[in-house]
Amino acid sequence: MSGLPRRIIKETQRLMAEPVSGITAVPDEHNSRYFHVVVAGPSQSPYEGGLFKLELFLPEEYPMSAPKVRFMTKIYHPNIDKLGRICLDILKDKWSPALQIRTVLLSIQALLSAPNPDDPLDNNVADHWKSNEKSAIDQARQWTQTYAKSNMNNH
Amino acid sequence: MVDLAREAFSTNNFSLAADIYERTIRENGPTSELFLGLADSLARTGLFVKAFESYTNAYRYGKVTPEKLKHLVIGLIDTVKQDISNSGNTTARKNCMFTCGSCRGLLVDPVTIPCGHTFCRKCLERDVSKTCELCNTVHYRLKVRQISSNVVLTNLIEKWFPNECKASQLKREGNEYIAKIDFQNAVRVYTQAIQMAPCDHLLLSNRCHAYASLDKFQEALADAECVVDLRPDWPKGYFRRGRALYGLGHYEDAAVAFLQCLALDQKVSSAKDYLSKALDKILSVLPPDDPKTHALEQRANPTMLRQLVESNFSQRGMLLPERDMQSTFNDLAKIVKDTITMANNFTSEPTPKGSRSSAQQQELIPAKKESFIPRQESIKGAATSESSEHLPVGDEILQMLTKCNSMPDCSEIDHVELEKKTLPRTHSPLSRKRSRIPSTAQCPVSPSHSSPNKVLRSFAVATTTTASTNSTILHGVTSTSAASALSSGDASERASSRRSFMEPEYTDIEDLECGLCYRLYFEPVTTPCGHMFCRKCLDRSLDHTVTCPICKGNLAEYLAERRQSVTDAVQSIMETYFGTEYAERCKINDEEMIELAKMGSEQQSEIPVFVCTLAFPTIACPLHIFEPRYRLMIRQCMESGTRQFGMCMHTNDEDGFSDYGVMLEIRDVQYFPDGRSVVDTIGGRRFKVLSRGKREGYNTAKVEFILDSIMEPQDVQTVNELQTELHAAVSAWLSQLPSFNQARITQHFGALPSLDAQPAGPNGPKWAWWAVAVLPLDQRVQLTMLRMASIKDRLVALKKVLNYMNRRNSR
Repeated sequence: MSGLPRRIIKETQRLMAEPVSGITAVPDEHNSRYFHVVVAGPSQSPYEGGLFKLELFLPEEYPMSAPKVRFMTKIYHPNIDKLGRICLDILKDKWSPALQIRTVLLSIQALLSAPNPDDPLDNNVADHWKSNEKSAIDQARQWTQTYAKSNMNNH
Repeated sequence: MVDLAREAFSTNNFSLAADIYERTIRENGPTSELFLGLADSLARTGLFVKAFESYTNAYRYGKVTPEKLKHLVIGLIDTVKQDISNSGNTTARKNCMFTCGSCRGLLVDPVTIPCGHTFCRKCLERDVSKTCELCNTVHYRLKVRQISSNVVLTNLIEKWFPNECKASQLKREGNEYIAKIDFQNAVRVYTQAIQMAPCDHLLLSNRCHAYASLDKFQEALADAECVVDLRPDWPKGYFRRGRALYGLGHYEDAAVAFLQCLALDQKVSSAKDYLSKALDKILSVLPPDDPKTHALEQRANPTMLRQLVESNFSQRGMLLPERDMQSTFNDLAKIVKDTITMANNFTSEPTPKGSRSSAQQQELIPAKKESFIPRQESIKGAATSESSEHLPVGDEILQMLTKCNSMPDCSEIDHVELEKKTLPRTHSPLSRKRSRIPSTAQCPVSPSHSSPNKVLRSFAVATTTTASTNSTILHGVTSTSAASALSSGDASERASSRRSFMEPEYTDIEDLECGLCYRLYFEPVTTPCGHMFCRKCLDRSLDHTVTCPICKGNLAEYLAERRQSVTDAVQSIMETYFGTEYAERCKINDEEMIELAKMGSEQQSEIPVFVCTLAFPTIACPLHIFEPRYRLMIRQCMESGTRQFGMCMHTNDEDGFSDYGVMLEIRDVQYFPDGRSVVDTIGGRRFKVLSRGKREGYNTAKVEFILDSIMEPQDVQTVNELQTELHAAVSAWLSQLPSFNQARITQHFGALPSLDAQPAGPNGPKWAWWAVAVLPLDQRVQLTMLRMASIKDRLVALKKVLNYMNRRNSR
């Protein structure tokens, strides 16, 4: 397959030119389909103040299939598991080729603001969330302090 | 006799009907009814000269109502209609970018229907025929309510035409006033809107309607002329013009305008009604008992009528754009001269109305090409001159020129509100619609003898204007003449209205970018939910899911109907405003197609690979295609025209598919409504995989094709013996199978090919491949045979297999 599709080039250019507030996405210097992403924890969420590293990969069939996205930073969230995998409908069956890197990252940012324990990926976290939301939020805040602060330097 | 004639007429045998009527008139004496029958028959055969003569007689001998002129109307429409279709109506299609294919105005709430043409939602809802006005496709299941507005076009129009959008808002307001029968306010709002969008013919047309409803026919005519000027291809403009002229009492002009309307669209029933009324006015001008029979004779003068008909209907060239302009002008000049001459002849009692130099008058007559515009005006001038016979002809013409053809006879009727009282007071030859007072009493000379002239020249004008739909040059000419028809107050408005039609104030190529490939649209298609994509992009998305990528709307019906129609409007917009970029985009697409077309065309080239099963040369291989990547692959094979792909067996190693395979040639594709398909293929060349690749999700491979080596001469004997022996063995094996199994094999692979079918060639005998495919062999054994490049080796291997099977069976 010759070259990078025009769509990926344009998306990258636009992400660079007009970045989404609270999100940076930089393509890997060796692989233009691989992006290093940092999402800032949304304010008024337990993740506020944290910087979360993610990896985003555009498969060969992109945009017909969804980008592969994973949290690299540990995060306490009912829809994100230990391995950083994200339970987000638009990354699965609700994917549409009209969505783009930008919209995916915005959705992830929104997921941090609004955890959905009713559609859990990590059952333990989700149960915690449902049984004692305050305690779960405290835990999430603590994790943010522990893991999402130091990561800043790594990036 | 009359019954006979009627019967002939009703069976479309018009010339026979005419003969019978003629004879009856000769034998039984003239009656109005007989003349009418004769006239109808003649009109339907296209003999208008004689028809007019007969109609005149019918009026002379009795009362004829406008409704009775139905056949004259039909005959006239038939004649002009043919001319239009001959000349090819191309203007309509080309101009549909931001404009509705029906009302030709700026699209309001644009809806793209399955054939790819776009109309205002209201225009579509109004049209019950479900037929596209641009391509005549009938959309039987079209439900306008279920189609969302075209999002791209809506945005484009709002962004690119802000003023016109505001104007169309005002238009809606104006239309509401019309509905409330408040024409004063309607005129006010329309005028406001026209200032914003001076070239919106719909606004002018609507204001024209409002003026006409207020009996301000002069203003209505001015607007109508603007409309025709802007949109010479729009039937309603002519209807508006006709309506205004009718209101002004210019029945001949009105008749021509209605006919022009009907020439462009034969279905406008209101134009037919008005045409009959106008014709009735023309033909009934002379009361049957008018003592001036001399005038009647003049009116029924066949020479003049023949001229009328000839100048319009036999010289079809005048309607054709390729027609030499010079000769068209000469034709027109001739008509003009004749008109003037005749007008001269008929002018009996000149009433001096201001003096005019003869030098000025002469300017009108020379038939030089470059002086066509004044001549065009002279047509109008000459025309009006006959209606006011009291003036010397030249004077009258010049008067008309200076007064910008303000229709002198309308001032005669006092209760017509005329704002411009500067018009010369002359006697009207025709009774006015509003006054309903026969004006013959006031007319010292019967006006009738001028009528043919007037009709003649009106038709001449008609021809020019009709021709103008096909020619920009002529368009320029008519618009000039139309402009001259305006009173001075409207002149400035008119001048501005003639600026180039609908130029966007702003353009942005990003508004024309496909949301899937981020490139300029290529073959843009519109979904029922109003979203647009490149056709190929949407097809690919539909391979994965049957919903709109943008709004998730269900596209099952879109997919099932396999719609492919490009959205014409957007295609034209790209070609017009981003020609270079669009050409570039086409080039990219061509390159992509060439790349696909190369696949499998030459040795060592890259081919698409379907990983599924083993196929064999010459043997059919039906496939059920459901995976998105293979839907794409098959579509690309079909679109690029290669119609072939490699078939390899799945393997569990990291390569994913076997090192050897067979090219499958697509013979037929049957699609299911959900996008799956059954592909009928037949095996072709064998190949060896050299390297593996991927393309848009499916596998590809660089391959080397395998050909059977040429048989050594000493092997020919052995091979022939082996063939005979093995063919018999296979045949025997087949015959011992249960008949059910035999039938299934035959159904799937066909009958056992005969021994001599395709004996040599790059793949060897067909029957042998049939045997390899049909015999219950392990795929690895089949694969081994597939890669053998020698007939002898393959036959030996087959013999071993058959021996093994026989041994096992005998055990």
